[in-house]
Amino acid sequence: MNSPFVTCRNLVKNYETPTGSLEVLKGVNLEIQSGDFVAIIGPSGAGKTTLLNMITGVDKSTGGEVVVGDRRVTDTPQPQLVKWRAQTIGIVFQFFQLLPTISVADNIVFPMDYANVHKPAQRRDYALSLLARLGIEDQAVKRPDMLSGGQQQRVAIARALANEPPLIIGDEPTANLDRMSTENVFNIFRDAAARGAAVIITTYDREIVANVPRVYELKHGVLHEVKSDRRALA
Amino acid sequence: MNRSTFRKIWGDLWTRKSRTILVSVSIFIGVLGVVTLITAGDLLVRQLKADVKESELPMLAANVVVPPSEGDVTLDDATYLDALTEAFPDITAIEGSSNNPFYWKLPDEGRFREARLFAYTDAMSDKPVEPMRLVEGDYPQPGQHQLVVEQRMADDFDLSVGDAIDVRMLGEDEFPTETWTISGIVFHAYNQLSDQSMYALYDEAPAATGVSGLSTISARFDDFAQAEANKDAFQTFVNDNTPYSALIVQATDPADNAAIQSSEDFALILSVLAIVSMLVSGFLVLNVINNLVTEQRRQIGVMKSLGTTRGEMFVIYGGIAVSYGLIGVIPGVLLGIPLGYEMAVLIGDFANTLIDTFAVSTTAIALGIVLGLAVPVISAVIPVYIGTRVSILDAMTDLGIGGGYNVGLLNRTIKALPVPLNIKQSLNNLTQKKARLALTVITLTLALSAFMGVSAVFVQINSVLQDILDTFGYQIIFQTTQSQEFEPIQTLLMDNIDGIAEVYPGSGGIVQLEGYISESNQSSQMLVQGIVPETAMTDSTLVEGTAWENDPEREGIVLTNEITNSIGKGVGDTVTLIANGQRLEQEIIGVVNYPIPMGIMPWEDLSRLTGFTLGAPTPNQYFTGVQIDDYSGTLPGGAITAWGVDSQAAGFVTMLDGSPITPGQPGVMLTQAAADAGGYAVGDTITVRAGDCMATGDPDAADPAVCTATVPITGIFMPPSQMASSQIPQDMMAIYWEDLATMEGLNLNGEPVPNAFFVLTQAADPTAREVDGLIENVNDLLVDNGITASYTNMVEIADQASDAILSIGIVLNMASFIMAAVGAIGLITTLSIAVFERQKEIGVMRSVGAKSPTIIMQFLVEGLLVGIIAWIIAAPVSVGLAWGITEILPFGEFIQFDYPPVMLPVGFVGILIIATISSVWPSVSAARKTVSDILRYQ
Repeated sequence: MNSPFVTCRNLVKNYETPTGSLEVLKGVNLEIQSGDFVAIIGPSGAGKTTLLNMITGVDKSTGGEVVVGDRRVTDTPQPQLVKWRAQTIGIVFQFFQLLPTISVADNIVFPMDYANVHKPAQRRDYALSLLARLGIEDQAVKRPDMLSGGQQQRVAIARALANEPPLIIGDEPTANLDRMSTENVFNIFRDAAARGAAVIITTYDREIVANVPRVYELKHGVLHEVKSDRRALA
Repeated sequence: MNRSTFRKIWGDLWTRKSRTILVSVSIFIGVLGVVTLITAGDLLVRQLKADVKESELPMLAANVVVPPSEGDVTLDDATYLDALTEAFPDITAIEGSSNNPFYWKLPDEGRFREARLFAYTDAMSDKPVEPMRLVEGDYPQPGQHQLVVEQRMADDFDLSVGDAIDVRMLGEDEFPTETWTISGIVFHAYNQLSDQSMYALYDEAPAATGVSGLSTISARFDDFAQAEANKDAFQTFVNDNTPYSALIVQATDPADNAAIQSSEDFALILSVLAIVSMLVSGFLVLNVINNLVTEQRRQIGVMKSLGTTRGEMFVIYGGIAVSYGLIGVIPGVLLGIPLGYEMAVLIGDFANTLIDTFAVSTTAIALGIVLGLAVPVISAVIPVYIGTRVSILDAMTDLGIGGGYNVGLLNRTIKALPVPLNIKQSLNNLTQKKARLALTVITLTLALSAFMGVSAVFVQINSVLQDILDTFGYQIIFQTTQSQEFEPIQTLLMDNIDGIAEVYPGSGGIVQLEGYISESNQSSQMLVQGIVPETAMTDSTLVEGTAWENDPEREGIVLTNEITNSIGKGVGDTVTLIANGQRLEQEIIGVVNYPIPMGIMPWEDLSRLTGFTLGAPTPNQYFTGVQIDDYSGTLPGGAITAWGVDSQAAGFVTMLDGSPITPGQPGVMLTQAAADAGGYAVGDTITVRAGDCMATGDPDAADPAVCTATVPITGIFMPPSQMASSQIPQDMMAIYWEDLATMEGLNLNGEPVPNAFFVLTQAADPTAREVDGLIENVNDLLVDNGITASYTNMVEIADQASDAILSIGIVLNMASFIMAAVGAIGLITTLSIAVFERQKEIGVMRSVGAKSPTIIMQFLVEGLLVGIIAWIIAAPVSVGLAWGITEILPFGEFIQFDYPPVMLPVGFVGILIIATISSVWPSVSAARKTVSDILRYQ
């Protein structure tokens, strides 16, 4: 068996609040291989986003470690994570978080420019090909606020895929989408995993949960694997 | 810079066009201010430095006159100047000049105008001191009745080369009119009276002015120290070795030229104002960028997650700031160049220089570009540094577990206030965004302070201008060439000319004021206007004292504040006036603010002081016959010509033996012919009989105690040369004129007669042109009656003074407008951003039933609060600024610091208006949007 691409060992995260310390993650252990498509479920406030933030290095853990690829994320200073993150992880935010003042295509070229991925002359073509793959190539020159929620989310996914990262993370990527859009987004993630990327999403969507091969539930700060069906990916 | 950086910069600029325009307009105004004001100052100083060169300025200037005792001496000025050069080997250049009033008019005009006629011992083309530049035509040729005109006078009167003018020849009998031709136009930077100056050949000027000889001898030395060291010796040499008497010798260091110094000071003010306007712009940009990074906090988080480092973030937001700068700089510089030039031309008049060739100031352009680009970038550094420090996590979650809004004391206080909810929201918004509040208040405070401070100076200038216009209640002064009685003139004018409300008698004269040294010419002399006290002045123009307001018969003098400040005296103090050999002590009963240092006193008092009386003898022009007992001379019966002299004339005559007479002590002086005829010597005593005691008098009326005097002979004198050529016998006696008049039984004072007539027009506020028209009518009437006169248009003089001061006022006004504009734009921008930021909040409020006025009120309260806070801070700051500007401005004592209280309410109302517009405009546009429009925005 290959070594896991994402490893969380005994991951602990506490928040200090006016009412005392709040333990959100209580020693989470997780191993994800390249090509895995993993969903993390749990009630609101369970710490799903916190766990994703630990993996992407956006937030600091209170204890334990996170290793992505060959980098110990928990030990790496933030400035060193910026370019690494851009090249390694594609993040899809819950509320899309597109840059509103530049066009859809420019939103996708943006991470390529800053991570210096692909040749500069090919970046726009690649962005357009991603949009085409997602069925919204005709929206390329529009600004994001002119698109529907589903279209915006597809743009956000295209942006996450732009640098062809080995790890894709989606924080409730379908929370604001209709059924058809949700299916579309799911298919994109599944294709990415099929091409070898590790994909981790958090979701409430029962249909997604039904179709994702591996599902973990985060409850009371502890992660439990509730489903493991690698064949489903195929 | 990669493509995405450029796209992001462009996208931010383009999608938020109104913000881009507002910020760029603000920078544009700042840059426009910098380029315009600095260009004006730079061109002005540059022109003055080009015109007025240290190496061409005199170090010593002696004001000289030929004393009456010299008589009709033939002057050999070239020899005197050569003698001075020889006596003072350190002199490197020397020049003699004459500067006297003369009268001219255009051939089709009825009345003569007064101007100054300058003439130099050296050729005009080769003046060794304070040279002039021939702009057009040629210098005058001998015998051709030609003169040249200073360019600024030529411009004012539309005079050209080849034009003929009529000149009243004051040096010839009956003052005939001759036609002279303008042979050239010159630019004479050193001439402070440039707009009333013509130049003639030295030998030809006396015929026009009636005055021979030099007015000034100017000299340069190897260095100023030598000039200073030789000042007294120079004066003594002139007095002892030439017919001239050097009244005042002034040493001035060319390195401290007052004109350049004041222009540099003025340029400094312009630069400071320019920098302040740029600073205000800078704060605005700082505010905008701060708001921008706050507004884009989430975007910053996203960009970081997409691989953008903080350095690259700096490039993006710095690029936006530079773009704002570029958009503002380009038109600001392009427009500032011609505006600055025009302003320099305008101020040039005031600074006595002429800028007639378009020029650019590279300093101003460079500063405009650098400041226009650097200020936004520098302003962006701190907000971008702070803004980009945010982590991805913080950027994505505004509020969360650690959120602490609405828990401070201030928030709890606001919560407890008994005001509507939307007002509470306004207050909360202000307190939550403390950095924005601070920046907005600073921007607005700077703008408001500058606006109020500069406007305060402007208001003060205008107030002083009004004083100038109100100081004298008449519009025309005319002086007849021959003495005229007042009543016939008054009747003639009142009966025949429409538009005259009243004619008053008056007088004018130059009087020496003891203890006073004029700042401009180092002379102790001042102009005194003799007026009719009950009609000519009102107490509204007085800055101190009541003058004749309550008592028209009161004795005393009103002085301008430059004089009172110079002599350190005020109302209630006594000053000594000296004229015509007489001293007169007068109480200062009022102080007026007027640009020309002068005194004002009842005309009769002035006429008596200056000797304009009828029925009383005039000292030195007082010749009469007396008898000396046992004397036998040219005249029969022991008679001899007695010359009544004053102490000054007695001191100037050349003594052959003994000493001059002293006023108050008995004594006479005899000519050598008289001494020989009577066999007298110094120390002998003679008995003089005058008036009724003479054989030809009335024996019954004679009082020997009055008309007979036995007096010692104090000295033997040589009569002045003009007497030698007159019909007066050579045997003559000189006696103090008051003693002689007393012996003759004459009234010493006589009856004062006016030497000027003041005309009050029926129109309350006539223009200079209207007054000119009236002068034409008066002149025509007087000429028809055989009376010639010279005229002064007081409205024109006041206009000229106003124009000069107003030009500075215009500059200040422009600066204050820039400040106000930048401040207003700053507030509009800030509030627009606040509205934009809270569009979702507005949408939610509207969705739950809030109407537009509720939303508008919320933002209005915010704007007004910010404005009021700024006003509270700006009010005292503006007082300090107004004081600073007044101190630096080259007005001397004329305009003194006085903060007009009206500026406080003006500033308050102004800021309320700006705050209201700035708040209502963006909130109305936001309130107009539909709920769905607002809430769908990402």
